Amino acid sequence: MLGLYVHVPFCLSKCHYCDFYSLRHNLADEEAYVSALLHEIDLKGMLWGQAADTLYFGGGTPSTLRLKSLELMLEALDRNFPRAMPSETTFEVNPGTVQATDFVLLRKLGINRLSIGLQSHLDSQLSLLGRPHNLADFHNTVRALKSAGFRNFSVDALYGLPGQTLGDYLATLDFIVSTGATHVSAYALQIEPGTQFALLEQQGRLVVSDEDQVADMMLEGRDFLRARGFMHYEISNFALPGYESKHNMLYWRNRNYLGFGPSAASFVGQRRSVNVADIDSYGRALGQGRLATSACEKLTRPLEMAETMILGLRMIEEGVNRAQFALRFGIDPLDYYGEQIATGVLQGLLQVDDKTLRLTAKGFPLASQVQMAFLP
Amino acid sequence: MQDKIRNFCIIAHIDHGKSTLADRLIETTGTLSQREMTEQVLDNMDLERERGITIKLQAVRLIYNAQDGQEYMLNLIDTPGHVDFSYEVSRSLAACEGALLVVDAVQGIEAQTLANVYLAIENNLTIIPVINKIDLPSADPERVRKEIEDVIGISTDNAILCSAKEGIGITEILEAVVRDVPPPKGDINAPLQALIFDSHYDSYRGVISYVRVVNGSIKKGQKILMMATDCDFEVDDVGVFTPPRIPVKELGPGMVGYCIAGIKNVKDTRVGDTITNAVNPASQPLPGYRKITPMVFCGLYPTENNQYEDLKDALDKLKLNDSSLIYEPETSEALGFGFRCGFLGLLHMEVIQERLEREYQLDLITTAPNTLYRIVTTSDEVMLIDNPAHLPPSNKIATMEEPVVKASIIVPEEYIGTMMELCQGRRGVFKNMEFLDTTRVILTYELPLSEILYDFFDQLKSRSRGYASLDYEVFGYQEADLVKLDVLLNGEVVDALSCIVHADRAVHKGRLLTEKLRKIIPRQMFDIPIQAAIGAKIVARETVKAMRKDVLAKCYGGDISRKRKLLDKQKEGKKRMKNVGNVEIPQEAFMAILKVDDE
Repeated sequence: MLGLYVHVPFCLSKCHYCDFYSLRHNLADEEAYVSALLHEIDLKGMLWGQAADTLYFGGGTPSTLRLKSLELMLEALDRNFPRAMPSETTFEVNPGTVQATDFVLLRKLGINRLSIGLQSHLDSQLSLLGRPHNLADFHNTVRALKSAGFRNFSVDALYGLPGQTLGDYLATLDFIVSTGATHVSAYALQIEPGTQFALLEQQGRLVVSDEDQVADMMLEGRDFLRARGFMHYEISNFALPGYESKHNMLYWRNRNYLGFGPSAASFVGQRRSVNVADIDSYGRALGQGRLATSACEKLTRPLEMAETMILGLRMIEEGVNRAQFALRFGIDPLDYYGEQIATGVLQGLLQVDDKTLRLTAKGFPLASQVQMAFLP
Repeated sequence: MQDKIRNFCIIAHIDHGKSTLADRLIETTGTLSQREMTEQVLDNMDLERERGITIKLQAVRLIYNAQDGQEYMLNLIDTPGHVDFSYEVSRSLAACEGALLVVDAVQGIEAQTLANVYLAIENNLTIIPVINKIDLPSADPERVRKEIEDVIGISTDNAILCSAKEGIGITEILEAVVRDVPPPKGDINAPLQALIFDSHYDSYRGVISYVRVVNGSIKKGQKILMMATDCDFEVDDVGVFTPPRIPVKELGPGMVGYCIAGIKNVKDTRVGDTITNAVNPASQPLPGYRKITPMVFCGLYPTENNQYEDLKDALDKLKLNDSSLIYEPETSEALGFGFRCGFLGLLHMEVIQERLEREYQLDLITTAPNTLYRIVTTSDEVMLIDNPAHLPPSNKIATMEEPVVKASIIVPEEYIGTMMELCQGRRGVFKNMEFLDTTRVILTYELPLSEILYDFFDQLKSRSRGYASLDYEVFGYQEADLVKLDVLLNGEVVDALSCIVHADRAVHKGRLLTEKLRKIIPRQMFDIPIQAAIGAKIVARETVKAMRKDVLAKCYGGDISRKRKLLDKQKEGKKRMKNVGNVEIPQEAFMAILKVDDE
């Protein structure tokens, strides 16, 4: 199993809460980026070339790229990592960045899943977040992608926003469901260091929701989506049956993936590595025929086991598969983590059966409390 | 030789420029080259430089070519200026014949200067007044000169006007030391008598004793006897401070230096003890130091129980050059094994804590400080209580007494009102008010010591915009209506959170304390009731609601290492908290009582 991730570090503008690596889009940078990326794909292809199960274009805003660039990238990827059939190829889109005709071309290139960053259906909240689009843009985008034949698309929603009520949030979810989305990612707002929001919070100009408000939104939001046929399959992700993100499942099953582009992360051969988060250094390294790795960590066995537990528990239904774990590490997690699991079960946060280890309904909002116990 | 020696110290209030003056004296005599000078040479503890204070006394030998053409050996012994360290001051005074009284030409005499200069006069030291910072535009040396004469009652005919910062008056000071400070008396042929005025532990050489020789001499190879502990040793090395240690052949009468004698056990040597010859010992030890009683107590516990032995070891080593520190093992149901430690005051307590954490890499939990209470039980038994948890039940207590201090506050006239308000609010009893000059007064109050422990000094400073200075001494015990305030977490009394407070304000304090604790204790898996109780009566209650959300919103390929590290950090934080029953309590909770704002 192998997943591929391509980081596209361009946006129309920087959102106030975002800490991903991105810069304002311009053609010169795009050209330099694409040429470096093609080198990286070929280099990694020589090292780890094999069939890929999933491919994901994330960012940044991949939909800022010209189609020509995308074509070149896909050609190189397919040459080095032929896509297994049926494959999942996801492309992130921000409302207002793709022309109606381009959706047709995206489909022709083999893209079969879209992920749209909506965040909220209220323009007031979109502008607070620094999103460069409004609700009307989103409407146009959904209409266009549907008429191009896309059926499988995911929409992002944020909760715990300043000034957002529970009613506002549920209305956003209701709106998303009404568009026919097959998948919803619902995230609690997190103030990340270095963002505009972090600065505002530090100056006392941004008041975030308190724990109780956020917990209410989390639980009510889950109930709302489940009542409408969505499976709560991961802490922040909901899907109609069969529409789970295969690519992301690969992360949570702690499987291998290769990342391309500045700041993209990889996990192959027990090593986690990450590319430099700077487009110039990235281009320079690859121009000299070197990978642009900025940090690399070889996982010890106990760490890899802990990560497998921590990530696996994010999956609400699937959890950690005991047999898979035993196959991979030669020991049943119940034998290795006896004490930690017993504590979690006693606290009512964990449940165990013959096959799996999962968070309970009480445990999922408190996942960190359970997960940290597995760290060596 | 002996008549060319001068031993002196500097008495000054914090900020009046003592350390800068010491630096200047060292520089002018060429003891250290410009290159070797770091600012505040004598303050070599990091803590001292950071806080701009002197904690430990230091010694340095200056070689000075005086205007009479003779070469003199001047031993400068540095002294701390803060109220908590008067014990250190009395130690350095015993090793000197003279003192420079440094007074800021703008601010004038402060409360602590007064106390120290009286101590020096009692010890028959020659006082040389030095009026410092005359370069400042608002300097008023004449007013300060008059203040010294009126308040302290010494002549200022020999006073020197100086600016240590600008290097003005430095030579005059050195000349005055040579001219006015008497050379040490003492007989080189008499049996050795050397006073240990300080010591510290060096991991390579063992105990290094700082000594002032009074009679006889001490040299390498000599067999010596510690008169109080009755232990004998052979001298490995003697020398002087330049400030770095430099070995010399011999230390004769009047000389100040160090002595190393392979002493590995900290308990075999004691500050204040007299060193003599093992053969032909002196008949009498030198008068030692007045033993002082610590009045401020708190519990010190290692965060990790397995650091108990390390903490014990560290306390033993600190005790070596700080005999005012006392400690004995105690056990707390909440915190496990630790020590009850006694200090001279709050700053002393903070300094010891910080030194333990910095110099010995210990991670400590400190309980809120309290004073030493005297209790007469209904069966007429007298008990001294240094830990609120050990207070007998109220029906067994006939009377309870607490230490009372005489506090002198020097403050500009316009703050008299606010100062009196502060003291009154702390159960103070007004005793006296006297004008120092036309603008400043000395206020005298009697205050319970426990009231000074809680944020008094900070309040004093902030309400007087930094102008007020404080000195106090404990003068006795006084009966008071006191009660023990207990804190219950999840229904269980946490012994380390108990405190003794005045009955009239116990309920109010209980409310503030529970409220504060609710903010400090993080939400956990279940609701945690926090209650304050006096005896069996609950007087306040708050609840820490059960945790509802603790989950990382997203975690994809690029996040995994970072999110794992976040969890790791969270786990570390959890480990640092103390588990009491099944409640996790952060370290700062044990100091919460100090932070409740009473106003």
